[in-house]
This record gives sequence, C-alpha cells and structure tokens, in this order.
Amino acid sequence: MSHEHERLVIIRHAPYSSNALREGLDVALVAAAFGQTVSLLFLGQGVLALLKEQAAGAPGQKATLPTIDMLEMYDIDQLLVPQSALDALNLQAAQLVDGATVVADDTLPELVQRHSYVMNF
Amino acid sequence: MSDEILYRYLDADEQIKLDPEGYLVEQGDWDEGVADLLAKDEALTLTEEHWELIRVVRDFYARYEMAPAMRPLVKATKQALGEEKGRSVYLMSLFPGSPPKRLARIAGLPKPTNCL
Amino acid sequence: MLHVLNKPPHSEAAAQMLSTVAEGDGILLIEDAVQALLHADWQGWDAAADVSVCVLKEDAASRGLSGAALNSQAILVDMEGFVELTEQHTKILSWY
Repeated sequence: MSHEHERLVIIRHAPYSSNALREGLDVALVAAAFGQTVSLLFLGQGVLALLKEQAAGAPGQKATLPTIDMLEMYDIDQLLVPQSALDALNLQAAQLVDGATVVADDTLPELVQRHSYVMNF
Repeated sequence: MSDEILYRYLDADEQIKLDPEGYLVEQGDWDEGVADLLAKDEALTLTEEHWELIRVVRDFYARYEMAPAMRPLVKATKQALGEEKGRSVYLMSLFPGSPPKRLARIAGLPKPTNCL
Repeated sequence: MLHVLNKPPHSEAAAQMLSTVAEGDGILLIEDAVQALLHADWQGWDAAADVSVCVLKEDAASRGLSGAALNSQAILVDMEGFVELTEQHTKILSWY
C-alpha cells in the first residue's frame, strides 16, 4: 500500500488544556474533507482525547468525544496509540473508543517516516 | 461570533433572525415551517426527498455536534437512505451548489466547518 | 526528516520526538532544547543510526552554553546553517 500522499497528524495535547487538540482535529477534518487520506497518532496527553467515557463538561465547553466519534464519517479510521503512552497514563486499551488501535512503540519511526506530510499538534 | 450578528429577518413578522450568511441566529427558532421559509428564500420547494436529507443532517448534528461537509454527508446519506441516494450527484440535484451549506442552513444548523 | 525541538531535553516533547526518530533523520536543537549541551548522556545524542544532532549557535550562546557546546559532540549551526538544514530535508517536524 502506498502512503505517498497520506497525512499523519500527531495529537499531543489533552482536551481542554489548550486549543492544540481541536486545531489538530480540525486540520485532519479539513484534509479529509478535501479527499486526503489522514491518520492520527496520539502521543502523551493526546491519548486522553480517546477516552470513551468522556461526558459533557461545564455548559458552553465544546466536548471532544463527538468529534472523535465523527472521524470515521470522514473516513479517518487510523487512530493510533503507542503502548507506552497508555502505560504512562495507567490506561487500558479497553478504556479507549472502539476505533483506537494500540501499536508497538518500535513501529513509530517507520510510521512517521512513511507519511509524506506529518504535522504536530 | 458571527452567528450573533443580526443581518435580516426571515419572516415578515420579524420574529426569525438570520446572520449575514443567512443561517438562523437562534437554532431554537427552527421548525418545519421555518425550514419551508428558509427553502423558499433560496427558491427551493421542499419535497419528501428534501426532507429525508434534512433529517439526515439533523441526526448527524445531534450525534456529532457539527454539520457535515460533503464527504461525511455522502457517507451519512448512504448509511441512512442507501447506496442509490448516498451519492454527491443526488445531493447536488436536490440542493444545487453546495449541498452541505444549503442543507445545514435549511435544517437550522450552523454553517458546516471544513467546507468550501 | 528534520526534527526541530525547542523544549528542554528531558521534556515530554523531547521524549515524544525521540520515540519517532528514524535512521538518517536530523535533529536540530533550538531555544530551551540547547540545554541538552549540559547532558552528555542525553538519549538524543545517539537516538538512532546515522542521525546528526545540530544545535543553533545563537541560542546556545545567549544561554551561556557556548563553552559547553565546544566540548560536546554537537554540530553547531548558525541561522544560515538552519536554513540549509531545512533545505536538505524534505520533511520538517517541529516538537514544541
């Protein structure tokens, strides 16, 4: 499979901590809306965006989970999480949304290498 | 936020406020009658075929809190109404121009983000 | 791929960068990342095979680390060198 024009968006920030998460998701959605193939890699705090039990917060706060759930409607179905990122947060794969895929840490260099466009958020 | 700026009223009684791009200022103003007025404002007459698509985007919004761009709109339509209707040509035939924008407007939703 | 790091060498951003560095990549340390000059045992100095680690000279100097730079295995680059690096690599990834 060619990854020549595939985009990788790296999400490293937790929900509500800054705009970084939302900006990253927006970039992914825009690219997908224009027909690009997009994969998402969640590192560090970014993994928290995938917790499936996220509920509504204070009124007026935009929740993350509906957007995460929406990704598959944009054909973004690669939501990758390295095992060490889960371990660092004492999380189990079962606590993440169904679409998330846990990958071995030693696959990351090759993953980043093979995408033509990589963006960090 | 642009959706707080009133540009004009949709109805003669000046009850329903529209923003500069023609979207409802108050999403709560929407009902089927308002949808008919919004469609008329764009010289469209709503048929049952239009209505099933309006329901598709309203369901999409209820679930994902965003109005869909073209790609997810096609996918959501396919899932809800089948292969035959889940195609961009079909959407274009009912909502010419930009189906995501027109549908969102008539369905009383905010303008779709990530959309030309 | 050129990785540009502007956070301290033991920050989360640095660790995330190091987890993705591949053979043949370049690393450029700028701003707070030049503190890596104080840590000869920093993992980044030999992150992967054939990885060159460059340090922005101006940022090292402004932080009082010019002496440390001379004693390190780092390749010092100035702003012009920074530009050259970005030309040498087709992809650039910032870790901030």
